[in-house]
Amino acid sequence: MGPHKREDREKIASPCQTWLTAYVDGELTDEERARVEAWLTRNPEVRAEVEAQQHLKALCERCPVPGPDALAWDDVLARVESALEAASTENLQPRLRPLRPSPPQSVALGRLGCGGSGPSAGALAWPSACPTR
Amino acid sequence: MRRGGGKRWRSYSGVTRVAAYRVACRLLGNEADALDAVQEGFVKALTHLGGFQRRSSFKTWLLRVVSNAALDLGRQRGRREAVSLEAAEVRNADLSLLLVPDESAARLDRAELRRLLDQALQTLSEPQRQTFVLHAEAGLSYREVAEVMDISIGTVMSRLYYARQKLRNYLASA
Repeated sequence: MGPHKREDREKIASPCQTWLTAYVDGELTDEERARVEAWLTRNPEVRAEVEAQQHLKALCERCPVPGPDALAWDDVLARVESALEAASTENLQPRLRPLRPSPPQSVALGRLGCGGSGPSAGALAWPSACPTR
Repeated sequence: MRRGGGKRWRSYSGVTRVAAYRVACRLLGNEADALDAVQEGFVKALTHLGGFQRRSSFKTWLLRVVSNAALDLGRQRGRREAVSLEAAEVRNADLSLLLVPDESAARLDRAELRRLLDQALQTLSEPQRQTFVLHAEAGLSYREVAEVMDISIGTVMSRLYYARQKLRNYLASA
């Protein structure tokens, strides 16, 4: 198993938790978003969780990483070119970890594993405790 | 790549190079290391263009190589120790201000906010940090993050959920 595969002891968020995360990130369809919002109106504690996630997201957006200094960036570009030329002329290529080909994503999801009529079977079944249809 | 023909890469990497730099900077916490990681990642990517199978966009492929290079570099350079020293400089900041959903956080300037976030990010596991940074800093969609990391979208969402939980807990308790 590669370094980015799910670790054995990695905690898996519940479907409700992941739906809230997807709601905060704008990754739901209009229909899914409406269902989550209906759920939120009935559950103030869940709304508080959403607001906390939204606040953290806004905080990150408030302080993006500034671009690199122009001179430093030019230096990087020059070093990349130099390394490429050296690799070409000396036929020396860096030792690389082989990149695993991306397997076809089985999750069609609509965008989140959900077709137009709601969550499909698979990665994200709509939980009974979550917003109802 | 032939000598003299190498400058072509500047044009097609220009679209994503800033995103690559930002990802590396968030993963490593400082500009110098981030630039080294970008350099390393670009050289790896461009000398192995045959590994790009066009199943994803060039941007996501490049971000994959650069973010992996950043994590490798971080391991080599003992990233956590470096951050803990840097964190001492901001220990006096009132981190709880960050979690108040009003304008009080505005009292902290952006540079200080960035340092605090870098500090908080180091509390995440490597997979969580990479997932969070690719989404939050590079602006990748869930599907793109899944492609970059070779994981399912469900895992992306799960890692984002726990990453945010940890970040909030860290900032609240600091």
